Amino acid sequence: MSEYYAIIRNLMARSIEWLGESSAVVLETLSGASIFLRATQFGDTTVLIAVTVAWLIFINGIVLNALYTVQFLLGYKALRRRGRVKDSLSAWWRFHRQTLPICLIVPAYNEEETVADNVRSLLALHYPEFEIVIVNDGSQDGTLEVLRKAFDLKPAVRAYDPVLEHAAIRGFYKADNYPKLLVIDKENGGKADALNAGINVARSPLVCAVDADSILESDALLRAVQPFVEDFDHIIAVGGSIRVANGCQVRHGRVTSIGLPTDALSLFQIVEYFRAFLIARLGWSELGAMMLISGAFGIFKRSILMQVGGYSRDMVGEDMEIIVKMHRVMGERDNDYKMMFVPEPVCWTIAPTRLRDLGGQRKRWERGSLESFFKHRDMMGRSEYGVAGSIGYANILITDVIGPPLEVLGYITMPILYGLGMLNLDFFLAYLAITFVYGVFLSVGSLILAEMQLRRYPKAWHLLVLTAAAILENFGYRQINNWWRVVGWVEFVRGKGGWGKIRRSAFERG
Amino acid sequence: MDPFLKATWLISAGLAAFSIVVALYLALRRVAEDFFNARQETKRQKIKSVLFDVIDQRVTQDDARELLKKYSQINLLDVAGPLRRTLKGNGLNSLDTLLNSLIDIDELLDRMAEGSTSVRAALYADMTWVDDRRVYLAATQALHDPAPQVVLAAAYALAETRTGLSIQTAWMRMTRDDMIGHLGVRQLFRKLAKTQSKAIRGMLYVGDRIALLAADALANSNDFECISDLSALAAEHGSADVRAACVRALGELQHPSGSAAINSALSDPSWTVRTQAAIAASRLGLNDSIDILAALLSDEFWWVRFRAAESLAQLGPEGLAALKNAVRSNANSDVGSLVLRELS
Repeated sequence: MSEYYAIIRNLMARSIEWLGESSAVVLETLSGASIFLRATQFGDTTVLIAVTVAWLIFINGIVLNALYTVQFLLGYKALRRRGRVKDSLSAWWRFHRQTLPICLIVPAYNEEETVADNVRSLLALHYPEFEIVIVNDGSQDGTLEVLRKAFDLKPAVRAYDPVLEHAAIRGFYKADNYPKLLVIDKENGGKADALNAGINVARSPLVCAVDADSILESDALLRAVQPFVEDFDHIIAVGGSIRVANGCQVRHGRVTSIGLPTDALSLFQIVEYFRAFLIARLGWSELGAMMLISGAFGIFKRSILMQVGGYSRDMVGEDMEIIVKMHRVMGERDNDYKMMFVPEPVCWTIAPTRLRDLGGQRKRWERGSLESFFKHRDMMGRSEYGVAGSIGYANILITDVIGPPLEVLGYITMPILYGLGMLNLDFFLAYLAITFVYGVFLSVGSLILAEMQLRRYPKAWHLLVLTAAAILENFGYRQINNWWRVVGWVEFVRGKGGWGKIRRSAFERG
Repeated sequence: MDPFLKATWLISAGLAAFSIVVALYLALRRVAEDFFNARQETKRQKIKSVLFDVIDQRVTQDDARELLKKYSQINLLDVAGPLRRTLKGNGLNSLDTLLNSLIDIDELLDRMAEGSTSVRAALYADMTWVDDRRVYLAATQALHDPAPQVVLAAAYALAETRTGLSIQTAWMRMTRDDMIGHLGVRQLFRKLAKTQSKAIRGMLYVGDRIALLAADALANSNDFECISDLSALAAEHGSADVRAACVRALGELQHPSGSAAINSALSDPSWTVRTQAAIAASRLGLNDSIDILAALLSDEFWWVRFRAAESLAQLGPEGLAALKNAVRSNANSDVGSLVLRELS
């Protein structure tokens, strides 16, 4: 091994000589020569492994930050181009005559506590023509009973084309007083299965997947449908923003007062959602490389969902997989298409407030990403899949596949190497800067974008509290998150499936 | 310190510090803006109150002018624009008269020329109150604007005016690549078709995408002279999409002279055309197509079977009887029986 190490050192020295003085500093650093204080007291093999690991972690940090910075700049560009958001009334006057009918599909499993309020809020949406299809996915509680009583549902018949596979439908229910509402009662088959049943039953050109425990802003559909209005020939899917409703007041299924939660975990998630939606989704949407539309709120062309075979029923991350699948099918057919993210339409959701629940959610998200990545891994780098196959797939590889294990490895090994005296202070500080400090810029930066263009929170003190949360989330919260993702990785390798149980607080009633 | 590592530190710490400073600045700015917006809102409420008095004729135009002249044009237009959309008749006329006497057209033209895309689009969309030729000339110029929303706003506004928007102009300006797929363009042509259907007929013979736009517009035109063109295209056009659009238009027009073309379309090789023909047959009440519709209950495409069943059910007792017969005699008529149960 010492010979091997000598060869590498020799090669480095030659490279420095060959590349000249200007590159010498960087290459010398990269060779590990300047990062070790007492390298000689350890064996060559130990040093070589330490060099490799330290630099792998460092480079991973730099690549991740570079990627997030590109997303940030793209998101900034997109928001600047969109200009200020119009008020709801103006949006209605401008678009209500040009919209297309939408079918909202709402899979519901054991949602007896919130489902009636949420259906009422959906019925009150400001949109010219829509139908709400609630899919009771074999709930074991009283979800169906609650719906039957609340809306005076009666058994009905609905003709539909069973193109997509799903568990057996037991029956349909309709309400005389609510002609827009249809309830499907079916055997349990999971969220993807329920969505497929809804897509089969839908008769409108657009379908919107909505989580039963979420609340849509009254103008969310009108705003989200705008890309379809502007370019119906090419747009095949549109995603909207998800916002954390913890701390907001909700009345009759509507957010009546926007506020901030009092617990740190929820505050951190608010900042995290800004980062995910205003930087990641918006940025990649600009390039045509958006690989995920949140399962809580997305609008799709029904015909395209049919063509790709609907949602895959055996997957945990069905929302990511359907998008990757759409990229695949469109690419293979050489179709000219676009998937967009629109930041204005908002869907409110209650974020988990207990660490255990949040951990369960994050592990599931990681498993979902890995499932989609490996299922369609042959798309990576192939020219027929265009930007999705190159940039989109590389992004998943770096941020979801390689990133979390390397980050966690860094949290453990770098302090140890420094403690053992193998790492010099300069290198250790630089590592801390890219791992912790740069994250502050990205988190606070996403808040700035939100404030400059979208004005998401009504009070100035909200912005101050969120700025504090954006700083603090980089010192502990993000690291725990990465740890959960590594556990998700392990669970994925072990073949763990299913959604698990997440306990969420109810919306705060106003 | 190693320059590379030093740069890493400096960039990270510098950007983090910079972002925190900007966030704090924005929070302070928000405090100032909240104060400013509260004052603006008070002004807007006062303007609104005066405008309501004008609409209800509780104050004279002269008095209103005197009361409103201290407010900025931006505030005035911000309030008047949305208010106008909810009005018609004398109230609207009173408001328009007042606006014309208060607004400085030169300033308005400047904002129309130099404002951001959304400002330009909003100004053109709300300009129909202006009684000044220069604004209409500006709107005509705006039809060349690179931003589709500005072009559409100007086109809609021009279409509302007495001189209107000619179909030829709309055709030239709206059918460019970045606009033809806009559903707002489709809506505009539907609007224009009510008065200029003859010119739209000419568009049926250009290209597939323009023909689709024209057929859709003619469906809303009440121009029965276009039926011969639509019928010919429904039978002969090479694109199934155009044939389907023509058949749909024939159904929407509901004129008996389109029935032969609809009957023929029921046997079209394309399922989308057959689906549209089935819908059109029930719209025209084509009882002579009942046999073909009953045969379509065994079509290989679900949507054709479904629409055929729906049409039969809507074609009166004769159609309903044919549907029931078909369901009884044809074991494959799954959709037919479901439609019967759904409608019952």
